[in-house]
Amino acid sequence: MALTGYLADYSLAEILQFIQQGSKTGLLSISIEPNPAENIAGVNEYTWFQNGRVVAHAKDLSSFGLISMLEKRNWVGAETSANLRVQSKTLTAPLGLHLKSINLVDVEQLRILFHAQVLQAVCSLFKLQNAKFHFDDRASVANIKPEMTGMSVTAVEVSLLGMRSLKDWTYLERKLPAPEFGVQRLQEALPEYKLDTQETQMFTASDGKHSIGEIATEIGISVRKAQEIAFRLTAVSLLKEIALDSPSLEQSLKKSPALANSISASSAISASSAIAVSAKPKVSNSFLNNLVGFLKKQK
Amino acid sequence: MEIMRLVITGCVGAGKSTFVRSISEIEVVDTDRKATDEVGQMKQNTTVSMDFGTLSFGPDMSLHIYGTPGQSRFDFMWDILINKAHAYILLVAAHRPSEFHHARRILNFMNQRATIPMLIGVTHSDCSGAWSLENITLALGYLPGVPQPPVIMVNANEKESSVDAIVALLQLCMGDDEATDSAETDEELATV
Ligand SMILES: Nc1nc2c(ncn2[C@@H]2O[C@H](COP(=O)(O)OP(=O)(O)O)[C@@H](O)[C@H]2O)c(=O)[nH]1
Ligand SMILES: [Mg+2]
Repeated sequence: MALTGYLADYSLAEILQFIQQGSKTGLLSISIEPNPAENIAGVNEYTWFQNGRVVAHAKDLSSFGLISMLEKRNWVGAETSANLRVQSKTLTAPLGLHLKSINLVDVEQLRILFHAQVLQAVCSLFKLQNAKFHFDDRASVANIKPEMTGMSVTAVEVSLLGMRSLKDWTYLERKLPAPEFGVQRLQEALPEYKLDTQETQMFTASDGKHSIGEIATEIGISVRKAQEIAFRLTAVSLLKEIALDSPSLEQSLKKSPALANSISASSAISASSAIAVSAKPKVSNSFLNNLVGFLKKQK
Repeated sequence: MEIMRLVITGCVGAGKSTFVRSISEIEVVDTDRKATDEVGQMKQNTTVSMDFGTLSFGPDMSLHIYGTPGQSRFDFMWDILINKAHAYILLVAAHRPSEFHHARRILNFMNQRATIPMLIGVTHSDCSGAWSLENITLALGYLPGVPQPPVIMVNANEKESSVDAIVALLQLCMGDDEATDSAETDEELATV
């Protein structure tokens, strides 16, 4: 089933985590309608995924993006390039691997191509906050061999790079974890890919007991920065949020005399027992059976 | 008086108020003893904005349904509700992916605070732009192949649909009971 929406609602970070966690294969299209009156240029961006990994990116569906990159860098002559455009229709392997097998490019060149085509391009998508997205998990990746270098990267890894380079976090503000929240590592070891210094400090400090605010002080960064880093690491499934203890009931009662009256009037809730996990009486089976019977009769 | 407490949680607009209302509007069988409890009294005596409905279905049996209050802040009220709840339903509006992140946060919070039977009710599946149950489940963080709670479609505007969701939840509670019962039996057998 295709997913459609706006990045302002469902962010690229969430889409990439979704694709990774579901090991999805398909085509993610991101677009902005051109609006000359308001000086808005149109945008079209296409990213292909295979089992949760990014395998190619292009700005159109011509299938000639990678060949153009080779031309631009003068890595192929005019004649070869023309031949490649014809051959590209019948490729059985990614174009990059094909070129390497006939010694037209080496591994280092493939790396440079992949960096520009996928890593840089996908990272810059994070800036497109007003764009529309469409993810089609029935789109075939079989016919995009001409756009493939043969290299790939996990969706969350490129997501982390993208978020790291993001300057304007306004559209993600609503989703940042509150400073009172704790964070806990989902794995003990650092990931195989590289975290930056602050991410590493946050990861290490995420013991599920300290709040994001406390961690910010501990590692000497602003609370807002710590919230962003916590969001980043949560979005790539390295951390999870932990709801630390709420402000105590006593504190809340001081602020609300009406509530305090109500509670003191009722015997069952005392300030101390409300928060402590009290054993609640189990509901009997006859109660459950009666209720199910009663509800079924209502229909 | 035996009371069962259910909590209906979810983001603003998910359908909590509608759900609680649709259940508590069911004809009450016996009203000579209006069931209320301390949490219900708090609602009556204060300005805490939360949904509260009761369903009395026997002289001594009552179902209490609470909707979690507000948005974004998990205050002491949430702790009280979770602490008292026997089971809960998370409502998620299928056509509002902007709220999935918060729904996931609620889920996280609830599961850290209590281990009680729960299910996910997906509302607004009839609205345009609605995500499939499968994709919502994934967006809430349940990876394929990993145990997950039941995820069912609910239309809070339809009483029957809300009733179905409650019945499914009650059946989970029964299953829960049987599981413990049989575990106890096994233990007895082992000691014999
Ligand atoms: N179309 C549709 N509307 C629904 C559904 N469930 C709830 N609603 C409507 O969604 C709106 C928000 O519901 P409400 O109960 O106020 O949500 P709350 O903020 O969670 O308490 C109301 O207008 C409901 O009638 C559903 O499954 N489909
Ligand atoms: Mg409401």
